[in-house]
Amino acid sequence: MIPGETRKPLSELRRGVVEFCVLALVRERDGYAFDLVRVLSSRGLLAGEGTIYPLLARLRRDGLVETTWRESDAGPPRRYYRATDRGRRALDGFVADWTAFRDAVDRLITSPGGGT
Amino acid sequence: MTGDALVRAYLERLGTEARRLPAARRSELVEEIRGHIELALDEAGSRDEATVRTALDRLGSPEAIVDAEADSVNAPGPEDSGGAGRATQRWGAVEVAAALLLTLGMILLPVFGPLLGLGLVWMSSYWTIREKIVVTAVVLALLIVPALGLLAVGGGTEASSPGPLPVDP
Repeated sequence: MIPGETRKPLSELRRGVVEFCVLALVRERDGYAFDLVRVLSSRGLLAGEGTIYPLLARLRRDGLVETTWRESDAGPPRRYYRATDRGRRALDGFVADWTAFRDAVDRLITSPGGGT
Repeated sequence: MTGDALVRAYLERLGTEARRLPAARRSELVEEIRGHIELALDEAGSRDEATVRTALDRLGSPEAIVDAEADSVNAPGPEDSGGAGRATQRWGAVEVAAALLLTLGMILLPVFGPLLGLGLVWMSSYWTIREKIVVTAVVLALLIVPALGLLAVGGGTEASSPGPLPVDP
């Protein structure tokens, strides 16, 4: 199989990474889904805006975010998300893994023969 | 088709696709998407057909959304020890051996059996750290309490004596 021909590399890359981007967005401040979508989409991190909802549901189920309902100026109440302690720990772990992973890939791509 | 009719058709397709999901989550997801569409259209300041089509395109197809939901139900969470993804895990040889050693092993292989069982429990990735600690505490208590009892009953005259009666010096 030729990489990139039958699979979709970008969507595979997003999978498993975007949830930590969400955790980073709600690490220190509350966010509601529509706002989170806007940030993620503008940076090309979300395939379809609707997929944020399954992702947020998973983070809730796993206890990585907690939610509060708040009245909004216009329209129905909004559900705000914020990382839990567990979510912040998961994010810290990911950041360490990601940094090492990114550096390793960068080094390999720029000098495939090694040359450490 | 008018904008509102497009929205209704979209939500209907979503509801149909979402039959794969648990009932509670199904209605919640449809409400979330409905709210999202409303916010997007409010923001755009229009509900005409072109605006609605753009908003729905950006959402992605109902199939893609429900696929993402189904993915996240089956996939293990970011933390493997959380137990959230465990429903799909099965016992392997290590877990079975550990369970046997901790039960039958208590009788058939005194002391050695349960200790080996504990070793296997810690090797396994099936149980969470907390569960492992609890099991270890219980097994050690089961091993140590009778041993202490024997010591106390034996009055130090013969620590390993299984005799139930104290021996007068």
